[in-house]
Amino acid sequence: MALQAAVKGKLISVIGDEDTCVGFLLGGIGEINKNRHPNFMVVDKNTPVSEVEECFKRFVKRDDIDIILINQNVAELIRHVIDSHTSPVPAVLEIPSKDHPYDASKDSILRRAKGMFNPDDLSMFGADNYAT
Amino acid sequence: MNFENRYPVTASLFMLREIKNRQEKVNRGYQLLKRKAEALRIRGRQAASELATTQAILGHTLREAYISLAAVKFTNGESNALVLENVGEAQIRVQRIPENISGVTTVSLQVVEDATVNDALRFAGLGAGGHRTTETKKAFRDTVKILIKFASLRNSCLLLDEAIKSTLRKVNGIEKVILPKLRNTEKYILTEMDEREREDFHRLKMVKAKKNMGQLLPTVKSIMKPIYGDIDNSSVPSVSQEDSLECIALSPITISTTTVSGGDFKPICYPHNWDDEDLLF
Repeated sequence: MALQAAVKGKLISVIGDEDTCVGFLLGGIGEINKNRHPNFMVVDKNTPVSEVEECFKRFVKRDDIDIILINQNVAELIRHVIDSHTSPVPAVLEIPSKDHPYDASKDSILRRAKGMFNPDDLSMFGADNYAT
Repeated sequence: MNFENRYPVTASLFMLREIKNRQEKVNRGYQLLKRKAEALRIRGRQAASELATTQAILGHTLREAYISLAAVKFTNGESNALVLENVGEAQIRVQRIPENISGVTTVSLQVVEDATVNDALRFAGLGAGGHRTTETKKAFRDTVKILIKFASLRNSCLLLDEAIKSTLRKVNGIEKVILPKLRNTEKYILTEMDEREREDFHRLKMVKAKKNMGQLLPTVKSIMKPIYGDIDNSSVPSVSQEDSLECIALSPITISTTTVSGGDFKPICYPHNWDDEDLLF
């Protein structure tokens, strides 16, 4: 089964508000596996933070998921969990939601890539290791 | 000079050669690592700038997608539940492709569109013509593709950053720790060997001085014999006291011309009583 999954490729999962989920499902990323676990999670304002956290951790653990898309306002709720996830796979991408504008400065990598330097970001590409 | 910061070696020619060899190797490794760091930095910068542009495109595409979704809602009414319920198999998947950027393995992600999978939402929104829904589907599919590209770039950025950091750490380690240590060791060996050579030289001189002394003593005696009489025999006791004194006074002068005036060298007082053991060391 692992071989089959490797051939077929990995999934993209979504955690976000209803519109985001619906949009990406229309795009064709949704899947419900054999255990009836969907690869998306709809978060509304009544969803407890613990549930979101739980879901995120479950997605990280699942080995058939390679990318986790998460709305930025949802990501703010579980920031500590996201920050503690440092390995490149699965990639966690923060995307803007429909009614929350995207704040690029919250994404540390983008911030460095765009050259919006903070003092603690100057380490991009080893600037701090360079001998003067 | 700081000799503490060196490798524990014995000062010998062999070790000197060894250290020089090692220095050469370390230098080569240093140059290579430096070049690798440079190459990685270039790639990292490229990836970062590409990431920034992709992000800009992504924001734009996503906004368009959301607008088209709103349009669908407007024409079809609330169809969210329908979509959320009818989930089958994913049509868009991601494939990991390992990539090698100057010795750093990164994982690039690529879109895999599976056309064979049955689209559970094929007829979604058909009641209202389906045109808007198709548009929205297309918009979101494009977004997903850009997102995958974005994720791939982000991954490579992260990995490159890590690789650059470790490479630079190695470069600096060689430059600041290993090379000075090797240099110190070399210097230590050289000074130690110089010291040893000087000691040997000194020793040789002393031996030579002693040999000269052995040759000189009979001549001195033979020169002095006709003037002062036989010293050794001391047949004339009245003169011998003064003679020997004079001889003593003379002999250090003759010796000092042949021996090296070392700092801790004991002045020789009784040349005719010299023994082998007295002279050296």
